[in-house]
Amino acid sequence: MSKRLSGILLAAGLLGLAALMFLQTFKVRNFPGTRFGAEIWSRAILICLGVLALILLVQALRRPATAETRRCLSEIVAREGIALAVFACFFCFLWLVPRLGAYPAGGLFVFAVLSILGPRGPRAIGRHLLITVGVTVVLWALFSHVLMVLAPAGRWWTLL
Amino acid sequence: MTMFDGFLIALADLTAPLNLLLLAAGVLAGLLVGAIPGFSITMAVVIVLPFTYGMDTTPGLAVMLGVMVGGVSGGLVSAMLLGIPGTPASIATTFDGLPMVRSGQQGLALGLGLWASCIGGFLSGCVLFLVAPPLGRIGLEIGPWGYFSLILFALTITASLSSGNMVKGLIAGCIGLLATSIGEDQVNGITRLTFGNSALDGGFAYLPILIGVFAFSQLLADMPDRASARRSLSAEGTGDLRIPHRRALRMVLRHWALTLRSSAIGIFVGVLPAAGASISNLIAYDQAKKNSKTPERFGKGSEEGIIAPESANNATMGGALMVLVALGIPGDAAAAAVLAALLVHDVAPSPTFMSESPDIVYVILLAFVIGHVFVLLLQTVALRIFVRVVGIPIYVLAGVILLYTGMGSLRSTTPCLTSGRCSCSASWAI
Repeated sequence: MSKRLSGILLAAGLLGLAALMFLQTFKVRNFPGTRFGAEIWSRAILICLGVLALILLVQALRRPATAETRRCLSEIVAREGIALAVFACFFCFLWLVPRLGAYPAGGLFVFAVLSILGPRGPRAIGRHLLITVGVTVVLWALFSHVLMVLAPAGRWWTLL
Repeated sequence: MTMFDGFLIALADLTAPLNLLLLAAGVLAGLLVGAIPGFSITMAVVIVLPFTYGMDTTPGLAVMLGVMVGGVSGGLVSAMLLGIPGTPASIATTFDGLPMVRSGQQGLALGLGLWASCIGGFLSGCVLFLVAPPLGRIGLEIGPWGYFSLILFALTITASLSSGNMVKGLIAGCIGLLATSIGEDQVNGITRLTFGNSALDGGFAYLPILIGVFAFSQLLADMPDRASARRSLSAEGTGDLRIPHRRALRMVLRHWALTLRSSAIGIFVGVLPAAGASISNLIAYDQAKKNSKTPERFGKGSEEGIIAPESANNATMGGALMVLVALGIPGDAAAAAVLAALLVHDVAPSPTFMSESPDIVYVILLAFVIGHVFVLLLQTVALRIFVRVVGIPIYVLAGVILLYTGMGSLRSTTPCLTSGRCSCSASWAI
C-alpha cells in the first residue's frame, strides 16, 4: 500500500474514531452541580486527536499519487495475510476459551498458529503437535500448580 | 533498642542459611514471573504472599522482597530478547535492548541490563539506608500539581521517541490518553465512553493494553511474510551466547554519570506515592537521550538506552520502600503488596516504625540489598538459558508467546474475556 493511501486511511479512521467518541461524551451524565464534568478531559483529548488526524490527512493528501495505489487491495491481503490469520486464530481462541476451557483452546490456538505460519508436511506437523502438547502441559502446570491461577473451565456441551 | 542494635539483629537474622535460601527462592520466582509478559511484579508478590502466611516475619519478608527485586530484574529478559516488556517497568528497555539483540549482541545487551539493574538497585539500597526518613517526607509534600507536572514531564518523551514523524507520535500519545479516560472518571466516579458496555466500566487494565501494544505488534512486525516467520529472531542466528560480564560492567561504569542520574530519577519517582517504575524508566530514558552526546544512536541499540531505564526501574523500588519504612505509605503497587505482607505478620508500618521496630526495618533494607546480589548470581546462570530464545524460529515463538500473554492477560482481569479482546484491539490499532 502506498504511503499516501495508508496515510489517508489512517487519518480517516482516526477522524471517525474521534467523532464517534466525541458523540459519546454527550451521553455522560454528571452529578448536579459538578464544576468539572467527566466529559471535559475526554473532549480535550478528542479535539487534540481530531486536529492531529486532520494534519495527518493534509500531509497524506499532499503526497503525490502513485500507480501503487491502484493495486492496493490485493496487496493488503497479501501483506497482511499473516496478521489477519494470527488475529483470526486469537479471536477463535477467545471464543473457544469459555466453551472448551483455557488449556484445550490454548493448545488448539498454538497448533493452528504453528500450522499456518510454519512449514508443512508430516514431519513438521508431528513437530508442531509435540510443541503444542509441551506448551500446553507447561502452561497447565505453571498456572494451576505454581501460580495458582484459576483458568476458565470449558462448557463443551454448549458447542453441541 | 537502638538503630545499630536493630541493624545487627536484622543482619544475624537474615543471614541465617534458611532465610538466605528463601530470599534466593523469592528472587528466582520473581525472575521467572517477571520474564513472562503479562505478569507484573505486584502480581508476583501477591501470588507468593499466601506462601508466607505460615512463616515468621523475617523469612516471610525475605521471600517477598526477593520476589519484588527479582520481578523487576526479570522483566528485562523478554524486553530485550523479544521486544515485549515482561513488566511495565521495562518498557523503555525494549527501545534499545531489542535492536542490540537483533544485531547479534544479545549477550552484551543482557549483560548491560543486568549490571545496570544491580548497580541501580545497590545505589538505591545505599540511599535507603542513609536518607529514608527525610526523603520519605519530601515525597509527601508533593501535591496534585506536582503529580500533574511529573506526568506531563513523562509525556514529553513522546517528542523524543517520535523523531521520524512528530504528528504520528502525538497521535499515539493522544490514543494512550484516550484509552485511560475510558471507564470510570476518577474524580466524579461517572462512567464515560463505554458505549453502554458494563465490561468497560472499570476501564482498560494496564497489562492487556501493554500485551496488545508490544506482544502482538512486535511479533507481527517480525514476520511480515512466511519466510521471515521461519527465521530466528537474531539476524546472525544464536551467535555468541556468552554474557560478557566484564565488558558490560566496564560500559556501565564508563557511563557512571548516566547511571547515577538514572538511579536518582528512579529513587525520586519511587518516593512519590503511586508513581512507579513504569514512569521512572521512561523519564530516565528520555533524560539519557536528551543529555547524550550521541542521541542519534538511541533506538538503534545504544548502550545508554539500556543502562538508563534498567538502573532507574530497580532504583524506583528502593524509593518506594523508603516511603514504606519511613512513613508507612507504599510508594507503588508492589510496595503496597509488601505492606500487606507486613500486616499479615502483625507488623504495621507507620511514621514511628523506624524507631519502634528497627530490626524489621533493617530486615527490609538488607533483604533489598542482598536480593540484588542474588539477582546477579541467578541471572548470570539463567541468562545463558534465556539467551537461546533468539535461536528459535519466530513462528514458534509467536504461537507460544501469544498464548502465554493471552493467558496472562486473562489473569489480570479474570472475570471476563474483555482483557484478551482488549489486547487484540490494542494491537490491531497499533
